[in-house]
Amino acid sequence: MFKAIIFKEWLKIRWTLLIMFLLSVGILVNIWVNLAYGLRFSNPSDFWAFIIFRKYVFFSFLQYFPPVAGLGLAIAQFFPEMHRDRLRLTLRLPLPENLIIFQMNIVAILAIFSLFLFNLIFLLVFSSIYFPSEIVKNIFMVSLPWFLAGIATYFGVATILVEPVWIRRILMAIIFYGFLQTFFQPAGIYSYQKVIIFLVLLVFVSALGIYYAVHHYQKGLA
Amino acid sequence: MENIIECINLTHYYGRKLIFKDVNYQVKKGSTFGLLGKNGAGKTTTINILNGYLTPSSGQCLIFGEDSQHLTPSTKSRIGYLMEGHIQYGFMNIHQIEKFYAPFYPHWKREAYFELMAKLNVSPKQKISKMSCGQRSQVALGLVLAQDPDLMILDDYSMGLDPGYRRLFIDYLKAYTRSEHKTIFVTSHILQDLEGFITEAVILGSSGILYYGSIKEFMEKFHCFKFTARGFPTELKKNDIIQNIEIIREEVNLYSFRSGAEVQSFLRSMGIQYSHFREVTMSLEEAFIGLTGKY
Repeated sequence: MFKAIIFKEWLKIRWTLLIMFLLSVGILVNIWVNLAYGLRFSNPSDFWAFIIFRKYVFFSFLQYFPPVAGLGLAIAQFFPEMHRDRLRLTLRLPLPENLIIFQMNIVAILAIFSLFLFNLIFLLVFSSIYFPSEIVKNIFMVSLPWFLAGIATYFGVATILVEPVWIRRILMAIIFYGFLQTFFQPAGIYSYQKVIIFLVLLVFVSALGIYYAVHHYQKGLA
Repeated sequence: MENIIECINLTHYYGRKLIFKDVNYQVKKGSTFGLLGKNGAGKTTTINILNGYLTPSSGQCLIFGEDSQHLTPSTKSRIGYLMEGHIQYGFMNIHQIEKFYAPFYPHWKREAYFELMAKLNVSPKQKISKMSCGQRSQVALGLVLAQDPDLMILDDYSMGLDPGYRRLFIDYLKAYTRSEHKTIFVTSHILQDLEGFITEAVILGSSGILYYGSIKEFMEKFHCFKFTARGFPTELKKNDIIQNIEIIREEVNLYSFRSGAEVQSFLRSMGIQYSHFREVTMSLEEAFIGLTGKY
């Protein structure tokens, strides 16, 4: 039955996933070109010093991509479900309702993870052409909070789409916006390494919202 | 006989507006049961409660002995539900949707689904959202039949369908009910289709049940009497004798569960002068309108 859920979710998200892959290719190529251009016209050791001592993140443009991907995938998954109350069909399947939602979430998280992995591998490969391993190995820890932000965005948007009551939708939108700010504090791009567990916990908390919204939707609570 | 559905003291309000109060009825195994009523009587509210989409203000519904708000997955696999508007996953085509649903139902009958799909004039890759209303209804019916459910809940199956598709539904549903273990619970506004199909019914009025029981008994016991009367008191309301009255100038239609003799005795006791008193045969639709009123 999980295969059937994967099949349904794949049908909904495949084109969005393709667009996100193409978008990430565009962003990564843009970063690479800018990096190569910058290094060509400045002293590479100065550039490295800028990265090491000024904590400059040459791929920071990528930080908003995971939330955009989370937003796109949540809409691709849940908008068709909410259109004409098709979520009722999904919740009527002979499975526990929370398990159905969990399996849908897993598919989207795997999609976000695949995008993150693709971005990470691309970054690691072309960064290793220009930088020593001491700089390259920080890329994962710097970009991990952005990946987590992507998952939190997915859960937030999914919750807002499913929640049947408008006042609660607005409230949840405010709460999730506040949540997301935590992942994008500009002064602490390298400081997140010490609080990454806290960010993972925030993602788990954000995941609860969709189950709360589904419960409201299912019971017709006003 | 086992009760497949039981509604026990079912009451529901939307805010302060009462929909129905203390409604009680049972749907027996093997019956074809109609939930009938005018718009706003509470049919969709009842269907939503049965499907666990709405929590009643009080009371409960049981399906196969389980609270409808907490059905187990194995019980859900025994219930086939056709949503109002024949809603299905519009982003799938007929092959994709069959591939999706089949693993969830242990008794999935592929041949039942594709027998109906063979009658559809659509390309294999055509999305369901691009089909006509009738074609979508055929897909929805095929999916429900393929589940081979013990209980089929059809919420206004006739909505938006032309007579041909409505007849297709009835033909297939009649064939389905020939198995003695199958139960159908249906709502529809097209009563001429349900006549000869449903065996029992609940007819809902404002705030409660107007009739509950066998359709055969309803048609035998509910009468329409026509007569001519000048100066018929228009303020006469529903009572033990009168279920409903329609007055057009001097022509009166009086609906009652009482016999003609009892009605005439009542008219004489009220001092009403009448003539050309006769009983008229009604269709199910006419009897329904007579019971619930036109407006």
